[in-house]
Amino acid sequence: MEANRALITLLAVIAYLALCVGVGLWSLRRTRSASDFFVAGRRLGLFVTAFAIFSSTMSGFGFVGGPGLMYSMGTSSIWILGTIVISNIIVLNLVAKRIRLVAELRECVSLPDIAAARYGSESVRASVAIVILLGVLGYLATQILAMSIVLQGVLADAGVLENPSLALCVAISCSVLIFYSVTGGIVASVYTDVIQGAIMVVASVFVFVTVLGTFDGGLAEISRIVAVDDRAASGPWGTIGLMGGLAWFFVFGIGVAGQPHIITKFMMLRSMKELRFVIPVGVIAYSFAALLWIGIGFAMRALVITGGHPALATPDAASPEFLRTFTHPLLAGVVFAALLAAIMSTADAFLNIGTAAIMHDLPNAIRGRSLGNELAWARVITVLLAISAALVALYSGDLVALLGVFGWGTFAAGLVPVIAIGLNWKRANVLAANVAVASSLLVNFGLRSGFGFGTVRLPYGVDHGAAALLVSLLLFLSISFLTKPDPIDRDIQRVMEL
Amino acid sequence: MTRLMAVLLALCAILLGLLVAAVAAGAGRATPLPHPEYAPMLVGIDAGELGAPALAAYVAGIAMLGTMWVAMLIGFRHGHWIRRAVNAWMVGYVLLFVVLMWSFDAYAAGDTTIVLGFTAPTSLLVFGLTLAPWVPLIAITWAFEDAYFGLAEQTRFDEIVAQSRERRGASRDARGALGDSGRTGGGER
Repeated sequence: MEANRALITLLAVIAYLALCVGVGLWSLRRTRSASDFFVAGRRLGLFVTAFAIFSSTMSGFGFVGGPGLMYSMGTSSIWILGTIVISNIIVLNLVAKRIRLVAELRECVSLPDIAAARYGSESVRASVAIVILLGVLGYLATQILAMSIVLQGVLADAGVLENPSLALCVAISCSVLIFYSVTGGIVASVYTDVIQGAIMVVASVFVFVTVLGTFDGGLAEISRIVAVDDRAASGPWGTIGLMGGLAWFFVFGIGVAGQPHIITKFMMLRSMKELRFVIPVGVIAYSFAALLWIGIGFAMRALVITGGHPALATPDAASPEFLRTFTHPLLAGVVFAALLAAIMSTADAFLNIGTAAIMHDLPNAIRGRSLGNELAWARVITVLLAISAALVALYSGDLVALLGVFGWGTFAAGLVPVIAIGLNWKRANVLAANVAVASSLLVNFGLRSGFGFGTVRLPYGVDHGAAALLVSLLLFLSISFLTKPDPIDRDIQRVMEL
Repeated sequence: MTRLMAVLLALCAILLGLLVAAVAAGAGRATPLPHPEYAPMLVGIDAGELGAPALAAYVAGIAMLGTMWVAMLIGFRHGHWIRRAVNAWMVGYVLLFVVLMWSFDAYAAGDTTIVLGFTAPTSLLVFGLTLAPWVPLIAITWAFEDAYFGLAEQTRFDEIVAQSRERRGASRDARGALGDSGRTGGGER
């Protein structure tokens, strides 16, 4: 079996891609309107919603980037995982109920729709749509790039193609993504998410068991080895330091309430009753996936230090290298499929909300109506958006990385005040909302690009997203306190009181 | 709600003030270093230059937890016991953070006790700060209908939806030949 490791992995990946195509075909008959395409006709039950939220959050970052961070920085990224429970309570309290209710009340199909309903303003709709579109392009491009790199490795290892080009792998992976996203819209997306989520949870548990077996003494021995080599790496802050860890805790803890690919899922819930268990089920799934993040990264660090594995060329190689070297071939096959699943589930969620921003929200904001025949346009724009993101991924060089890291912080800074606070606080007004969105873009892009002069480094390794979130919250709250509140539609006001 | 927002504003101002003060003082410029043998693995300098002043760390940590406390109080029925429960739990959560800081002091001084697979302060992060919010989550799930959204709220919401659709239907009829604009999210003042 060991001799056929690469072939087994390839077969697992092919089986998974075929499954995605199958779900796309199955969803085709269930997608008859724009509402079906964007919010699954508001018919999703508890488990589908919980797993859709979990899968779209735990992207390739969770399976590759996370272990990479544990490998390179020690325990620092546990501050990101440390928000798993508290951030979900915040999402439940701040946005889940309000978004679900406003979506049903006004038949909203997107987050900018919700913003327009809350503020009664097309300018807020437009600014939210622009933030989403910019973030989506970056996130989508990075997901496509990650998906293609994984596929390239799998094809090369199996010897199917000699040096498969990145462009070819982008074409193959995008074709599958586009197929099921176009045919089934969000319906295909959420049902593939359920499969993807289940694979991720099961794979994470098995991989963690493998991790525990890499050293006699398991995790305790790994911690000891890492601490002897570098005390900071095994301490509570890792190598990023105290303030950097706390900044991650803040931006991921609060910022999750502004992530459109997560919070739009609440619009799709069948009923409010289902909301009760969505968060606990999602949190349990996250917690299992966190085992893989912590386990692989930390074990690889200890293995390299003790000479059990050669030093890695890049931190992101931690996950693939561990799977190739230490796990059973069947498990490696499943995890590689899970890795692709994690990336695709995030990509399809972004594809969907990006399409809504282009064909529904921007036309509504500019000319007061969306494009005619929304379903057909949704399909066309899904294809065009995926192709544009693929081109950005292939040809934009460093821009794709900049846009990728720009995403979470911008969504957090732009949408937490406008959506999460705004849906709960009647004093929040249009001016505050637009200024918060503009500041989120300006501070994030400004700090990360230095307006052309290179990234601005904040003291103590504080994340740029945390600074942007603080600035936008401060501006949003101050302006709302200092200026007169705008009138709110009566029905929205009453929903805000529930 | 306005009081909570004022608290949130104050907490954000404190946090941003600390950041601006650090920038102005040119503090915290050091970065983690490449591992001497295994780059791109990094090694920390927490016990040295990157470690922020202890008082600033306590203030920043508690202020950050404060922002989360505000966010956790929104959305519940006024006067419900869950709000008091969240307040009490948050006091315990802040104490947990303080204990983690003390535990880190001991770790920095050379104590390498391993607890449940991690060094003691890291274990407090993994099994304390990360998992402790399960307590309010279970309480919220248990009291969901009573504190968050129950039958009474559903009935009121159904009424709001019915009235809103009736008004919008009437408004659409009045627009007559202009037809449906295709706009969603809009409404009547």
